[in-house]
Amino acid sequence: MLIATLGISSYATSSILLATVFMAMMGGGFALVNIPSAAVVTTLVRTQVLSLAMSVNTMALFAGGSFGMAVLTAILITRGVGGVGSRAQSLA
Amino acid sequence: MITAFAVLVIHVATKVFPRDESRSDDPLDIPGGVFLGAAIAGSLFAITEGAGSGWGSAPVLTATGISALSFVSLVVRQRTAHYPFLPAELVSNWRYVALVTMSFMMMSMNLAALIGLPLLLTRLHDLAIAQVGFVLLPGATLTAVFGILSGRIGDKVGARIPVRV
Repeated sequence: MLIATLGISSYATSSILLATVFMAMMGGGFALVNIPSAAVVTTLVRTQVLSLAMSVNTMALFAGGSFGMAVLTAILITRGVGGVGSRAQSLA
Repeated sequence: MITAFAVLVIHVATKVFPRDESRSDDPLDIPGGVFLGAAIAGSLFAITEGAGSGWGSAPVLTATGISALSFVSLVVRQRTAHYPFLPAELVSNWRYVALVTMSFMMMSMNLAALIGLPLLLTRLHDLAIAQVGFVLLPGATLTAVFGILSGRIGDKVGARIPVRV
């Protein structure tokens, strides 16, 4: 996922093909981490707090997603790369 | 159609979920939950609104203040409540905290790319929406394929290897 993120950051503006490849890597990497991490929770905590532990983990996932989107939107609006900022502002 | 799905989900859930589970008698710490929610919502609102209306604007400063105050209140509540919203054994379990942090960062990367890339593709490369869909299709496909694979790998060799890959 790290390589995919760096690749998207570096090459998404210059090559659509590379953006596709790195986005595919991102999708694969996400699945490779997300599924086992949910399973790992069951091994880290007691059964009595398992439901809460899994729900906090899920909450962190969604909060992280919201955080990523919020930061990205803020950057796009502030810097307006190639007119993307105005597009994001019109979407917001 | 969505309503039909909702009805179906409710029907399946009543059949699948066990009726007699072991339940905890600990009360739910509602103030702690409210503090946690307000801290997250306030920070997200401040970040989103700050870029548009200025980082020193009244709504942004208010949201930042509410977020900071809620976070401090949450910490105090966690230390003083008899049954805190987040049980102490979870907060003090550093491996669990690391896992939750990893989930947070992983999703922030993934969703930022999922939202940001289509914007770049439509604005910088002038791609149509259908073409953007084709660019994102391999990622969605690999997510589905690796989702199954990582489960199988996890069953065979443990969760560490797929996570490190």
